[in-house]
This record gives sequence, structure tokens and C-alpha cells, in this order.
Amino acid sequence: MGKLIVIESSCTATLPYALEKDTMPGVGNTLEALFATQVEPDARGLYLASKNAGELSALRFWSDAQVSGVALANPELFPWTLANAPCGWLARQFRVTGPNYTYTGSAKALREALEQASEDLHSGRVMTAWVIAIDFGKKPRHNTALAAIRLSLRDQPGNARQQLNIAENGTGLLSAAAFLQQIIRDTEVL
Amino acid sequence: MKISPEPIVVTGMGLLSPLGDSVSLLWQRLLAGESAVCNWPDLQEEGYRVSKACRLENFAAPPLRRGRMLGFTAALAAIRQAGLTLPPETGVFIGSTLGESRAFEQKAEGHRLNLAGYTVESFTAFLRQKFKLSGPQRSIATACAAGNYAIGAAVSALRSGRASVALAGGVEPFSRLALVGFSRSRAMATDRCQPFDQNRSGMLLGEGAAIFVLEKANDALRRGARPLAEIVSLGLSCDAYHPTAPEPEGQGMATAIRLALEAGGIGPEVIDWVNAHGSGTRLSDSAEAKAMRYIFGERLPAISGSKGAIGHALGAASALELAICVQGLLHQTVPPTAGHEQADPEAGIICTRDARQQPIQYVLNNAFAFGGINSSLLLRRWEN
Repeated sequence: MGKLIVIESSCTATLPYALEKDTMPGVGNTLEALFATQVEPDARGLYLASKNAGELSALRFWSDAQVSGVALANPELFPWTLANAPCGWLARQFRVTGPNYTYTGSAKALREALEQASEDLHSGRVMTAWVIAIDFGKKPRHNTALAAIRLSLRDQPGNARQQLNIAENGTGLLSAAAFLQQIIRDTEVL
Repeated sequence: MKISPEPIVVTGMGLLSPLGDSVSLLWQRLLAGESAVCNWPDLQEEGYRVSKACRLENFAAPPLRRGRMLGFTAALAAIRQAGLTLPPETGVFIGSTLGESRAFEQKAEGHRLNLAGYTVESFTAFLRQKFKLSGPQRSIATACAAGNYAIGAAVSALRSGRASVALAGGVEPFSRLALVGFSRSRAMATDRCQPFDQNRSGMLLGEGAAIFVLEKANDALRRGARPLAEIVSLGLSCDAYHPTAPEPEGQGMATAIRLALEAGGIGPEVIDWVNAHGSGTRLSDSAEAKAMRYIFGERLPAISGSKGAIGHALGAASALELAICVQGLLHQTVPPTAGHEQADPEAGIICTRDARQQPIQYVLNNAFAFGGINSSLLLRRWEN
């Protein structure tokens, strides 16, 4: 029997609406325990999926620039207009110096993140992978939904929270993605 | 004993760049030392601090769908060159920055738009729809390293057997939003981009798309296709240092290069050419120079950079530059580095000033992004 990918730990939360740069400290506080690990920083990988990372800041940045004039746009909102800024923030906060992936789009993005994390664990590129789903609240009455899991590769599930059974050929990915989607659905308070 | 993975090869390339809408035209103009940088009156009139850029002059597409049309047009050319009817299980792997930037701008200006249809995923979805594909997909938003990331994801999926053929690359429509953002973060030059030059003052924005057909070498040979180059490995790292500035000693960049070499099972001494990220900013070029000196020591390979000629196409940059690397391998030629005139003595990197014919077995394609994202893609000349 091949090695198994297991969920070592998971975490969900909802956070109040705010721009990405103001939301991330709360995300960091929420995820702190999930990132407690002895694994070498280069062997850690981040796989972030989001429907809208960068969107709020991009919209605010551009609407402000229409008022101030493009030459005087507020520089504080950049680079938060880039979709990869939240994942970069997490890397700095938790010293993750391995692969740093951001996937944007619908629920498929989450499956893509899981798929890549699974490939990287099986190939030995990383020893621990964090798959993080974060959908930023789009309006003040919307919350930000956050779900995250820490994955590793093991011969036996041991005391893992849950066995994902993602094999090297990708079998089991769908159920893993469904699991994570369920987490984020459960936390979504829109 | 380490088992070498089955080689993955490029069998088709298609691109749209500010220096030409085909691989051969871009290559020809690059070798001639041309630069696509010019002043754009519309940007000047709209009040941008920087009105010089590298844009596609003759590419017509609906403004809100410019990105996906760039990707589609490039993909058509790549498939044509590969001479392949794509099987339905073909995977699609696309890198970009944000998606259709113009849609984000219009929404902010008050237009009613659902941006879910304009993210990076919209580029991937369009290719899947147009070519009727249902294989694995990735829509990767890792900014200026996204092209390398997408190619690496495709290679990984081909090796794991999740896809038998892959369409992979980078797409970036011209983005006013990025123009203002990079300008306000003081990363932009006002006149021209000069990689590793003593007088460099920043980057200039570009746009474009480059898409590749990737297959296992045996599959390509079995159907009589001509492999153009082998994609050997991708090294990835993250500085985890600063939102915009690279780690100044270039250690994260060096790690990405080292990991690419290790995964390829080779040492730095066999690298013949590095297509540098060479954004032309003071900080990034300085860190990349240190990284290269750390890896290669005194025996630096030939180093070139393309952003002085075609600008910085952000999420499409490393894909466009991958096409340049493949052309270099095919023609055994390192292209000149537009804008590199006086080497910065502190950086200690002397880039090619003219086209240089030399034996090239291995080339590295470096791409780094804001957020400290580092990538280095290793390619090998294909020899039967």
C-alpha cells in the first residue's frame, strides 16, 4: 500500500468584512496553531484558493485613483491588488519558504490547490502542505470565510484527524475537495 | 538508485508579444536588438506618470475579454505547430496576475459586472470550452512568476499521469491597474528598462500571452512530432521577507535555482545560459545578481534578459521568455539584452549585448514576483 495523505489539523473561522490587508492579521491569529511545526521552512508549501483574493483592494485602489487621479493613487493598497498578496503574507507570518501557490476562481480552485499539494507531497517537494480556502467578504454585511488544513504524507494514518486517501494517481481528490468545500460551506455566513 | 522521470517536451509554441505575434517574428526582432518600448499618447492624456510601455499594437479584442482572446490566439498557434488534435483529457494550466484587469477597473468605475467571470479561471475555462477539454486544470495567480508556475504544474500533471497532453503558459492583458500600482510602488522606469545596467531605474509594463503544448517525449515521438526542447525541472521558493522587496542577498532566488538544478540532477557548471528575470529595478536585479554569483561563483554562464525589449508582461512574462529560451536552444544562440549598456559593477553581471552563437545544452529561465515568489525553470536541448 502506498503512502497516504493525512489531515494533521484543520481550522475554520469567519472574520468580519475588511480589505485583504486588514483581514490577514485575523487570519494569522486564527491559523497560528495550524502552523506550529518543526518541518524545515523550505519543505513547507502554501496552497491558497480564493474566489476573490485581490478583488476588494483592486476595486478600492482603482475607485480611489479615479478620485485622486491615477498619478496620486494610494500606494498603501498595492500590492494587495495582486491576488497572491494574501499567500505572501502567510508565508512571511509563518516562515513558509517553499512553494507559494495562489489559485483564483470558483470551487474548482480549491480542488486545484489540493491536487497540487497532493502532487508535491507525493513527489517529496514538500513535507507539509497547508491548503487554505479564503473567500473575502465582498460587502460590509458579508463575512470572510476561512478554512484550512495541514497535510502530510504518512505510511500509516496514526493519530491524524482524518485520512484523505489521496493516492499518487489522484484517486480520492474529489472526496478531499468535497470535504474542504463542506468546511468552507459550513463557515460561510453571508 | 534515482530513476529519471520520463522526459516532458515542448512540441508547440504560440505567442503574442509586443515585438511580434509569432515566435519567429519575436525571435528575429529580438536578435536584431529591437525594443518595443514606445510612448503611448492615450496613457499620457489619461495622466499616468509613466506613459511608456510595450503593448500589442494590432491585436483587436473586446476590452473586457482581451486576456482570454490573447490566450486563445496563442493556444491556436501552439496546437497548430504541435500538429495535434488535442485529446479531451488534455490539461489546461494558465498563469496570470489577476485576470481581465479592465473588468476590475470598469467595476470600480461603477459598471455592473460579476467579476467571477473575469478571474484567471476565465482564461483557463475559455480554453477548455473552445477546445472541448475536460482534463485537469489550474488557474494560477502567482503574479510575475505565474508562467513558470503553470508550466511546472503541467509537467507535474503529465508525470503523475493525470494528463496525457497539456496546454500551459501565461496570459496578461495590458493593465492600467498594474501600471499605477507598480508606478506608485516606485518600481517603474520612466524611459526604458535596463536589466543589470548601472543606470537602471525600473521596469516598463508589457502584455501578451505564450502558450505551449507539452507532452511526454515518447508520446510525441510515437506520433512523429518534433520535440522542440525538454522541460527538465522547476525550482520554487519564497523569500517570506517583504511584500514587495526581494530578500537583498538573493538567498531565496538562489534556493529556487538550486532546487531546479537538484531536481534536474545536474550541477551549475553545465548551465550554458540564464535567461534572467532582469526586471530592471535596482533591488530585484541586485538580488538576482547575488543569487547567480552564489550559485555559479566566478564561472557565470551567458546571461541575457528580455524585459528591455518586450517589457514586463507580469503573469505572461516567464511564458514569453520560455519561448525565447526554446528558440535559443533550437538556434544555439543567446539573444542580446536590450537596454543593457553599462554593466553595474556592484551587481557584477555582464549581459549579452549582441546575439551570441554558442553551444547550449541547458538554460535556466528565472522568474520572480512581488511577495517574494521565486521560480527557476530548467530546460534542456532536445537531442534524439
